[in-house]
Amino acid sequence: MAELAMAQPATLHLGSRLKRVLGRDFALAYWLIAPSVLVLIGLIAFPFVRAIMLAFYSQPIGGEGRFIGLENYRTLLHDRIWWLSFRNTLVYTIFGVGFKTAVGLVFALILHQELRGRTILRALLFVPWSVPIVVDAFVWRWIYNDLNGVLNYVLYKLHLINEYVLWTSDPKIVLWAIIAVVVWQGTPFYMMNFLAGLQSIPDELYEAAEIDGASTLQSFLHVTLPGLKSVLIVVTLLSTIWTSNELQFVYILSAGGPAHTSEIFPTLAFFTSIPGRELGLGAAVALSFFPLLASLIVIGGRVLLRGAEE
Amino acid sequence: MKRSADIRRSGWRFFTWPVLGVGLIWTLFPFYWMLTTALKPNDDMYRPEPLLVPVRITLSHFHKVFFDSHFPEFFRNSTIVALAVTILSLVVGIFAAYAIVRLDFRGKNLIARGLIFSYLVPPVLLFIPLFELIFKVGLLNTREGLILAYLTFTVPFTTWLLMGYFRTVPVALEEAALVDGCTRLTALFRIILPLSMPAIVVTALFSFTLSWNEFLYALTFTSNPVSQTVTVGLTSTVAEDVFFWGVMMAASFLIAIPPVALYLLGQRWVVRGLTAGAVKG
Repeated sequence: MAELAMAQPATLHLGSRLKRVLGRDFALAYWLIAPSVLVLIGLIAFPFVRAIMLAFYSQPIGGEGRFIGLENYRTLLHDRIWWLSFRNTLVYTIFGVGFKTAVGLVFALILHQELRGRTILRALLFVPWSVPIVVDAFVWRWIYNDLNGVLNYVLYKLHLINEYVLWTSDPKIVLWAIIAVVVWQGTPFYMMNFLAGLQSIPDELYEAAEIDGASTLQSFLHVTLPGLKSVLIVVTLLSTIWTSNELQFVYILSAGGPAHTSEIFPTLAFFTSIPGRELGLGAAVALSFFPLLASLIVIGGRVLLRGAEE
Repeated sequence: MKRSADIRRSGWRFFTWPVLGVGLIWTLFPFYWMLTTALKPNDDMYRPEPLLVPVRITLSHFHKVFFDSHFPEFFRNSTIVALAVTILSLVVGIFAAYAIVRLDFRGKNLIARGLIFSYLVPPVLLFIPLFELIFKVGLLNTREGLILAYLTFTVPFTTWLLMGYFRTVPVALEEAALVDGCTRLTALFRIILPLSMPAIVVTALFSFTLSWNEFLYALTFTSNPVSQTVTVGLTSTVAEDVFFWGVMMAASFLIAIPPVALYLLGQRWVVRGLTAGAVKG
């Protein structure tokens, strides 16, 4: 009896000390948070660290791994295909994001007006983004088809081209044909975000600008653009991360061909690691832009966190 | 109000409808072409001059998709995987979001940060180590393997989105329930969850469509129809037939239906979720 009576305050004491260190609700909280921490550590953080390590190994699928230091990176730097992918990834990302921003802004401005059937228009213009990318890419592969494709036929009939264009097998054209699909698919996302940004600009600002005698262009430059600044930054930042890492368009439209002229890092990483069975080298390819990507992730994360705190 | 709308309208008016017209054709023609291709007989499809408007309609491509291909299996796999991922990530996300927003414990800011940064880590960085992991635990070519992999993108954003919403539920409501003798968990289920239905619907919708549309993990971790989903299934169909475009477009059309339907149903909420930075684009 006496012992029990003694034990009670002791555990209470321990409990309150734990509470002081771990927080008032630590017991319940740790149970609730456990599954998500398991996912975060086991399926994201651990694999992420493993990917960085793998890049220093020669690791064939199912075989023994061998530490080789920077050998993978040396191999890549002497590889013409890696340099080609380097250039393509830059072009693909810069022009993809650039065009999506420009076209998305134009359509957001148009839909921001009072228009008949605006809700329906907005829903229709959004369809490409809601369809799986695989489907988008296959539809375009069929449209781009050399012989039976509808694009060649229509352009030829309109006398815009004199002979059929090899959209996905001409080395000079293939990457641009793919970027066009990337822009076609991704613009709705930009448009929606810009539209939400436009709607948050108070009407009074436009009224004030008009009273001051501002032209349409001036009110666009001095009211609309500054009002959109934060949305523009968030959307282009996040989209740069996602666009540069999306492999479906290239994989389906050209598989990186012909002769790697449309290869980008994501497809090269896949072909090297899975069909090529070299996981270490593949990881090195996937990490090619890592310093740039990591800084984008850190900046993007901070922006999102700040947005949540407001 | 009326005046300001006029101000916004004035300068853009000239080219509103021409630009919208071009934009609509550019946006919608590919889908028109998909559907008409799916309905055209092969004889009408592979000719020097494609028919812009189909003259004969056939359901043979759809028939082939349903009865003479692996697509029924692909659809079953996609449905099971997407549903399982949606339910699992909702459960995990609801508990985590509630703890982070309402409970006091050490390390919660770290976890909140971890969630947002891991949400931004692209699958291209993770698919190789995840392949190793799934290979080692013997889950290659299984739906379970895919479900595990998909949690890497659904759990962070589900938790993130729900955190934002739970914050808007007044604490006073919950405190009243706690005073009345509710435990934390009953307060979560009886008060927070019913009030958060819109957010739960959006996150479920996003989890489902993101899982349904996923490609890279499915391509890497599955290689036969037993576990392949619709997206990789579509790519594996290409090799089987020389004149495959009718079947391809019929299958594409069917694959696109669930996400497009869900989007149209939840459009109102989707826009809100989008602008909260919830979805990749």
